[in-house]
Amino acid sequence: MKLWATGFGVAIVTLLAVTVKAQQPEGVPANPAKNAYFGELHLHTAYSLDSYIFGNPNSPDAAYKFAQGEPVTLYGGETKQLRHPLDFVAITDHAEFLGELALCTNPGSAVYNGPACKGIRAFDMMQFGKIAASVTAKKRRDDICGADGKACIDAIKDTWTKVQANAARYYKPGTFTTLIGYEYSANIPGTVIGTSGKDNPRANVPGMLHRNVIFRTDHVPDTVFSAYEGSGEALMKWLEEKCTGACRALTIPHNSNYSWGRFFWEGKNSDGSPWTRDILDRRARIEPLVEIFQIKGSSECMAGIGLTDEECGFENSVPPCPPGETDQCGGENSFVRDAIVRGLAVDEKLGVNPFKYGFVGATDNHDGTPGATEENDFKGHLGQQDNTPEKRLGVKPGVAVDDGHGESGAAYMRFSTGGLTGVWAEKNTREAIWDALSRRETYGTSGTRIRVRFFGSFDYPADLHKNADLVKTAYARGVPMGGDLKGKGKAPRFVVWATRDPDSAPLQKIQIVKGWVENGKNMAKIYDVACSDGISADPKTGACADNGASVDIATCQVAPGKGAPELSATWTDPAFDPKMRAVYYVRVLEDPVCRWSTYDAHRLHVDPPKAVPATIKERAWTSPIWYTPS
Amino acid sequence: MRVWAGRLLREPLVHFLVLGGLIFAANAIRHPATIEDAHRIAIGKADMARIRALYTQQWGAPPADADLPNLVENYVRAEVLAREGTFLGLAADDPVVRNRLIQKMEFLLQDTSGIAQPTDAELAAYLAAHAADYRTPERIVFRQIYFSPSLRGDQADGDARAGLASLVKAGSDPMGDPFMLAADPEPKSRVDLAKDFGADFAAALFALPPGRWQGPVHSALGVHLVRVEQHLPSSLPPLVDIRARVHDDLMAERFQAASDAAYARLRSRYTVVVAP
Repeated sequence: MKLWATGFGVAIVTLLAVTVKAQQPEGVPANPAKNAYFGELHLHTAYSLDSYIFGNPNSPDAAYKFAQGEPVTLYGGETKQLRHPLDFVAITDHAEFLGELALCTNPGSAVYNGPACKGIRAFDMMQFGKIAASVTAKKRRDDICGADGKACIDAIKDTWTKVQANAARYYKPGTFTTLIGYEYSANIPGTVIGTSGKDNPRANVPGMLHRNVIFRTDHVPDTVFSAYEGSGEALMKWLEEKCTGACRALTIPHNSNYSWGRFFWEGKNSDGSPWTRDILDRRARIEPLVEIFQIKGSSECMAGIGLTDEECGFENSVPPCPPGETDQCGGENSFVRDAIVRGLAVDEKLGVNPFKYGFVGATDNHDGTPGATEENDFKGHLGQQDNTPEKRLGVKPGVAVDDGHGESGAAYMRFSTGGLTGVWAEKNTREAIWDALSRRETYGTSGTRIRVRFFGSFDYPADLHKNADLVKTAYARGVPMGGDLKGKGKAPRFVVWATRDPDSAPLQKIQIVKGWVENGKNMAKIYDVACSDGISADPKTGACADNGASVDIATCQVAPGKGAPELSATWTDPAFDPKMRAVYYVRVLEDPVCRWSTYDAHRLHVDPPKAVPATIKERAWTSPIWYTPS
Repeated sequence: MRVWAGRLLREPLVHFLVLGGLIFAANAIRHPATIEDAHRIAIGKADMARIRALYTQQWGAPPADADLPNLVENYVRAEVLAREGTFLGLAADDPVVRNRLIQKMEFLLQDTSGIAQPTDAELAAYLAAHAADYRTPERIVFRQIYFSPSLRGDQADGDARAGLASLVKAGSDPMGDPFMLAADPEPKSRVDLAKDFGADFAAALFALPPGRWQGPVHSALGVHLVRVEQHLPSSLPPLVDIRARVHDDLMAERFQAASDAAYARLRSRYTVVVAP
């Protein structure tokens, strides 16, 4: 049965004739000490119109197989395979174009032979641009959807049913978890799109207020709520109305670094209207996580904007905003660290914290290749837009395809390979993974598979990190990442513990980032709490000396003998004030390795590009632990 | 033979010949065959309607009569350049255009309408013929005691040796260090172990005889004493457990065969001469 008609090179064919019921999770053994599972919650396939029009041949079938370790063929014919399978994935195709793409690829539809659909099937970027503009304008294209948009809205349901069936077919409780989800992709209207290029590296795209919606089980609403239907705040309201009973959903915002200052706007909703109590409460209920890292760079923090440190220069894919400007650059209200600290003040003032975010990482790639984050094997993420090293580095400008970001090489080389999400869960099932997401027992990485534990308590021994019963004690007497500590007048102890990814570099150090608000001002301090190579932190600065790890840029060989396979510490905040709200999260840094752009340069026998660093310190960010005075 | 065929398929000359044939065929259909006719651009009623429709779609209103000569001239310009480019063989030279052409043809080859759904017997036969692809990997159940280089520095290996000696003598477990993966009791395949401990450790562990404490074995994470409890051999799951996967794979094979056959029919029309 050919469910979706095919576009050329894009076999959106569901091979199975009947809808499969997902396997049931009963009988999968639970580990009360919890395991770290690696996966991602943000991935596009040819079900997303942009992915389709970029020529990506991979449907959800291919993506689920890829996640489990099978090779797939990318646009242009190259093969890509994960070094190791993922444990879980949510495929999050864009809600906005599901109906349009269904109509345009179904030969039986009334608009199949119209110019819009023909253009889409011919990969005409102008047709895509028009649909993207129609999302910003919140008015579906009448030449595809009819004057009332109904044809597209109706066509969504069929695709949404397939999305659920696909997830059911590949779910293997205990081995591989598929979570049903989609991406809601609202843009900011009225962003001035300038001409970016060599002298103007700004991101030439409208501001993004995008969120992924992740469902706990196969109890889901019968359709999706897209940006055509309303704002992000309206999405959350819709979810609470439509996803009831056994249905549970959470939302995860991403690319706050591309939100042009709107994601963490104090006092204002995404459309600029003032906060209301029910909107804040709902956000706190339904949005426990934020995506801190992905292909379009890091959203943790940005050097020179708000609360920064030297590691905030990491993978910023947009430039910092000049004073007074907000568009196409990184500015205030766009970064996660500032948001979680601002959340403390909001909580103090209003009794609700809309920015109480745990962290996840993802790729957001549009090639249907979840978890394809290896620096030494990066093959692009946008179909024909960046499928060769030449295009990614802009080495041959005549060949490079402009995607609207300006000079393509300059834009693509700033992108990253994308990140992963680590989840601490009792077992690898939908319910266990989703519940861990919901309680924020998660961490994001820049693509590496570091394992990291983080616990806090008023009742831990001073050397808990050396205790063989560490995990048991840590859970019994304290809270894990994502948890809350209510003040008892004394300083809490934190236990941090990380082990390396055998396929990436050894660990350089573990840091604890503390945030608080002092006299109305957001504050942060970085403590190096465990350092490799026998180095101790300077008690005055809280920082470790550099461990001297290095990588040979010419060969990408890591000099041996530096860094640690694991690091751990039991730590107390030396400046703890029991009356002050505070938030703590862990950042684990690896020794440097070659960045993907350096590997690409080697493939082309050119020097690594100067616009981006030649090396990268892969890292992990744990969800915070919040301290509140009682 | 296979190597030769693969090389042939990668040969630019072959691509040129194949594409040249396609372009020729396309031209023969679209345009009259003589040079004179090739330089004649006929704009029919349908073409005019399309020009108007495109304009309307782009600008939200139909074109005024005064706009038409310009629109026609734009259409003519595009047509002239497209034809001249085709005559010059630019499409064949341009990797982007060439790839698009190939993709379009691949799609046309993927006519899936005549492909039958497999019967249970066919699925069972397919599984039997491809059993190696569906076997579960060999796995082991093991215990380990970890000695952390971060906590013990250079002593980790020596401490592990001393630990093994006392373990063998006293028969009790020596106290190791906290280990991140200790609580995960699941049997592990080589791939699982390589992912978490590194490939060398995986190879070492699968080579150890079961039933006693041994080591130290070094991994990417540090130093271990290990005791392999059980080898779980590879096995073939029954069809009922993996039916969806077998079905997909068999259908994918049928798609591929149909596509290959369609290509073979096209290919048979060509004679390829490779310069010596």
